[in-house]
Amino acid sequence: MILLASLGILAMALLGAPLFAVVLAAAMLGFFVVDVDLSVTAIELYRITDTPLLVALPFFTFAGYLMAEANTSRRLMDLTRALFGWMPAGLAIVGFVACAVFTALTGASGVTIVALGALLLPMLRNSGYSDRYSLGLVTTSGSLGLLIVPSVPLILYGIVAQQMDVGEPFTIQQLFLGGLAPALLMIVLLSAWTVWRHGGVERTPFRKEEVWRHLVAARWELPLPIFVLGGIYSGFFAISEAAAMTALYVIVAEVFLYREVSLAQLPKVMRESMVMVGSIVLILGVALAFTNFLIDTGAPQALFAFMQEHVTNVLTFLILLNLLLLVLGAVLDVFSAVIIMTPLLLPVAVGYGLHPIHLGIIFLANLQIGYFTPPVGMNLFIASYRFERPLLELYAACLPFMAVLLVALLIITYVPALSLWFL
Amino acid sequence: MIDRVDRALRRVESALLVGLLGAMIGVAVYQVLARNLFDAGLIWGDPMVRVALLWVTLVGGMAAAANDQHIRIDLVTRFASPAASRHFGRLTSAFTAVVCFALAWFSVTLVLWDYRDGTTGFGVVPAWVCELIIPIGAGVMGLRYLVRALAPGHGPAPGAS
Repeated sequence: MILLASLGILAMALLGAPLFAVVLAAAMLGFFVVDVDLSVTAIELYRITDTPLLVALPFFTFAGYLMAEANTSRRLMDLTRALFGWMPAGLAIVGFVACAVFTALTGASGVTIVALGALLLPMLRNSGYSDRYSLGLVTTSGSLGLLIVPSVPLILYGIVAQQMDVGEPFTIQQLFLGGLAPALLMIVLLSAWTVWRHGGVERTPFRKEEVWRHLVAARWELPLPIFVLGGIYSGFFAISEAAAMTALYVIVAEVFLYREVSLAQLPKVMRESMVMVGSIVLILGVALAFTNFLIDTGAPQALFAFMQEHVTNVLTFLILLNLLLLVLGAVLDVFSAVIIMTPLLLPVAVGYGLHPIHLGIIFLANLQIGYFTPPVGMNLFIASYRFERPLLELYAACLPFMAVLLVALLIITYVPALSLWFL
Repeated sequence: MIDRVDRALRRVESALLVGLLGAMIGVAVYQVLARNLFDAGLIWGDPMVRVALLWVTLVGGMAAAANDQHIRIDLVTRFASPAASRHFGRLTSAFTAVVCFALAWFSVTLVLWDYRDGTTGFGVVPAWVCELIIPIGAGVMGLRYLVRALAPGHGPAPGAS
């Protein structure tokens, strides 16, 4: 009976039922079986109000939506080009850097492909890059900034992991530091591979006046990283407060200084971003209930015991972990994957001696690749729709990039120091 | 009739979402400035922002239900025929409606408990008022998915925004 109900819930998930309903149903079934009053699900949902860090989510998400609505992507492109365009294969490197920064700011919801990809694709082709390479770059780079401050999925992982209270305690600030070197490694490897393959294609000469011109154009947005980073690391305000300041600052910059988003448009952006936040936090809220049920019944320990019986060394565990996460990343969106899988995987990973920060970085590096893993990675569909190309063409275009990023992933997984150098 | 109620509801949701986010930004920024400049701040400020997030969550969830924008695994629907997708859509909507109604029912119990005990939420606001959005939000989401299960023609098509 219980088995049948579980299978039914699983079937609903696969047939496309909203994930919050799936997780909620699983939690209710669980509590029902162990004879706990189901009001506990509402109590757990109310625990959203006990998590101060969570407040950062709506602020950062809104700021990202607002920047996507303004011409931030264009200015970012121009400035990056003026700064890095002189390098061999400069435009490609510009693409990697600009995409990574834009994704960090806006979250990897496909905005990067839509906003930056449309600018980059014609530029790359005009500069002599093959059609296939250009398509691959804009599709795969849409999730490149997942490990960079103030990436919302990274914050989410931190929140969920801290709720679990297993392994070494860590702060969100440390988690952000942990993501820096791995993100840089990915960009460097991609760039090196591009230079090796397309080295002679093009270069834009470096001109100081160009840099100055684009710095001036971006003047109202330049203080933003200082705001975010300064806010987070100076101790003057908490992360959630830095996020609130960022939200307010972005309103001032885009609506009043640049005047690219009108006051009348603002409510629409606010509404859309909050619908997004609502659907994420709802899953998180019901997952809190489900996680508690799992912990009460000792499921993570049982899973760990089972794993230990069959997988004795850490290396094998890490390979299995990578495979599992790649598949998950292709099927689930990054938010649900983090919310649902962290409670299960963290205790097991800690059991194998992984640091929670390292697991978080491996987790997101995997999901980042999952975004464009054929046949169902989400960014493939977005790119196919945006650039009007058949999916098969995109699969082929993404594969070489995927190979490079898998090398980066292996290094990130097996060299923990890359994520933990500051500890 | 259903469509009229739905339209009115959407307007209320949009207004609430905009108002809540505006209030959250305002209060959070005031807290930073007041603390760093005048060494002061609102005692109820931080808990208020956190309760506002709960409201954003449920109201955002209601709005997402209106356009069927909730996060899902769209593996099967992406490759299934349109007719099959419609059937799956009605089935999963019915499932979602049942789960939402269950949450609404059990959260009413929570609200009643806190009403009887007189628990405080933040400032002078009682906890049951803060919690009230859970049964309301779950109930509205349940109704919307019920309509989608019974009469898929109402409202915009799935995925439209």
